Amino acid sequence: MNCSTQATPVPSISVSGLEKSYCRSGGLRKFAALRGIAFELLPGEILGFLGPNGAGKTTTIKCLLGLLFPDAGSMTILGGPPGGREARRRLGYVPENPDYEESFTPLEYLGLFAEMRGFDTSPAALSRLLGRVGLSGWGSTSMRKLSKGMRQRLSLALALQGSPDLLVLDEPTGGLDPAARKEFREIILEEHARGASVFLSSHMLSEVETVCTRAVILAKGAVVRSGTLDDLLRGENTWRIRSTAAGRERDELVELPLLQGRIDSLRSSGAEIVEVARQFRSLEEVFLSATSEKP
Amino acid sequence: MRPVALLALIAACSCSLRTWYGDAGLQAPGHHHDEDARADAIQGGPGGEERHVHAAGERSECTAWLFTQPWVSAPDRVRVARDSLILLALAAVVRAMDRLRRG
Amino acid sequence: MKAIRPFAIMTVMSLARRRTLWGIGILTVLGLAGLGAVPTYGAGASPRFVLDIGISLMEIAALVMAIAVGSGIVPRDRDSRTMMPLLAAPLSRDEYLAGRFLGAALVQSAFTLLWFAGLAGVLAIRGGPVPGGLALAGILLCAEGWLILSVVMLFSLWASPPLNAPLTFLVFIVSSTSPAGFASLIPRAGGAALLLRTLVPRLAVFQLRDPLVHGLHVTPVYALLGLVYGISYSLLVLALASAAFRRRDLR
Repeated sequence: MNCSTQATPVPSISVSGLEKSYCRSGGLRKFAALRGIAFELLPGEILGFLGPNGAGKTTTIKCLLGLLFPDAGSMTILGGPPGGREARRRLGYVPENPDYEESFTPLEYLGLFAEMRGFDTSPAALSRLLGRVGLSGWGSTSMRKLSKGMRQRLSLALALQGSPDLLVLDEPTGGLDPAARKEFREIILEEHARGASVFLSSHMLSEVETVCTRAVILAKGAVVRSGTLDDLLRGENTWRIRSTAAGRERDELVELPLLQGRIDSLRSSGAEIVEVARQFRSLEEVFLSATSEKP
Repeated sequence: MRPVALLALIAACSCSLRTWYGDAGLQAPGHHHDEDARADAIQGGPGGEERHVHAAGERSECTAWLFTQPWVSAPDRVRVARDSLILLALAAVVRAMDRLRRG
Repeated sequence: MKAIRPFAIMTVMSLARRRTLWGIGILTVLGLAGLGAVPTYGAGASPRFVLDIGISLMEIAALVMAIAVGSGIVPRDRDSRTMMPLLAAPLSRDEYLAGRFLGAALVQSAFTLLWFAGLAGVLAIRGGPVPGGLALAGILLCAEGWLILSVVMLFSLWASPPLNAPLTFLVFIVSSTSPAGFASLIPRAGGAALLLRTLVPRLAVFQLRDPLVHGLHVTPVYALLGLVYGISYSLLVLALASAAFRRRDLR
């Protein structure tokens, strides 16, 4: 008998039925920040996590990191519970608006973090890391003299320590200029090529479009769209018909229910159908249409 | 400079005047020393009134309270040791319950 | 647990760079130095005076230092969001609290021992005897500082520094009274007052000012007992702080 077993990969992140409410007005009113969200990040994937302000992106990330406790639902991160020792050892985190103790220097921070996590603390390793994120020459500068973008670079350097298996990035390019954003994207792709999974929460739709393989769109605490980028960008209901009639090429968009009728009428009028294909939309269009729907 | 102001205020309130002037400040009105206490030196105080000073470490009526304090009272030392054990046990119980609640 | 040591070092570095602490430390040293210049009131009273006022000053400075060091640590980390990257990857919540406490306790102890060395110097310069128990008093004041620090850190999980300071000061006052004395302050609820007084620490255990001033011999065994008492109480308070902190949402 030929037995073959295929090991299913353990998701880097698995979230199911996640709910979280915050108290408002001194505990009199409850506000549901997350309403049963569910998604998975498979090993080696780059998952874009999109949503307007207040959609629940940062709340989800904080639940994943064990900083917030969900009211309901289950989560695993790198196969373990959020905040667990193993998960913390194997992940790198870039917070939204990173802030560090003002009296420290980037080199001191990197050295202390490396020591806390049991990674290489040699000056060469720390300088290499600073160089990789474009902070060479800034290692001994006081944190209070660093710009927001530089602090963001430092937080990426801290996240890259020890070659993590999972990178959790919360709006990582918010304070960066276009050149720095490009460098940031390149580093993310390098890490992906190394085999790391990347969870990228971002407002920068172009960034998500460039680097992500899948995306989850959140609105008002619920997942409103998810899937591979191809699936999301391919219009579900809109189709493009290219036809030629009397030597003139014609291009039109038709909704799915009307598609067959329109093809028939073109054919009956003597036109030749050149192509019928789903209409691709930009991520911005998908995002805007998804987040304007009532979840 | 709030901490400094607080420091000065509290220091002014808490400093014991007792030891500045020997133990005279502790005496109750109408207090009289017995024969043994006559050995204490009698000196003129800064205001001209009489005051007396006990020799360091000497037990007398005025310093009796000192000898009931934990640093010299053997039963109280036992109490400090017992309290320490209870506190350690309580700390262990709190940790254990915390771990149990977390599963 | 390996992360605690570097994090405690990080805490020491962070605290050592705060001007407020140096202000309190240096003012206390200046206060002690000033004692050396105070005129004496009587032939035998001078060393007692210096010892009494000096140790009183250090007891209060230790309280102020503990509040200044401990009350801001957790709220500051939370408000400035420096806590998030720390708890996301390198540290568990227990390690965070332990590292912050150890670092703060080290700073507090260093200042306390510095003050005691200063007081011994003042006594020596004035030609008075330096009591042998002064070192033991220093060690016990360190233990008292740790205890107060642990209480401050427990309060700091809920209270902002301006609220933390009076709360801790209240605990300090209650802890410095005798049980009967405290119960007599609230005659209508004497039982409750006695229970409250039993729960808070006995700071008299750590305060060797009176025996030193009165020339009583304090044994190292007693100092060791006091040290164990201080550490035990601090551990209990830290265990409570850890249990509370572990359940807190860090928004």
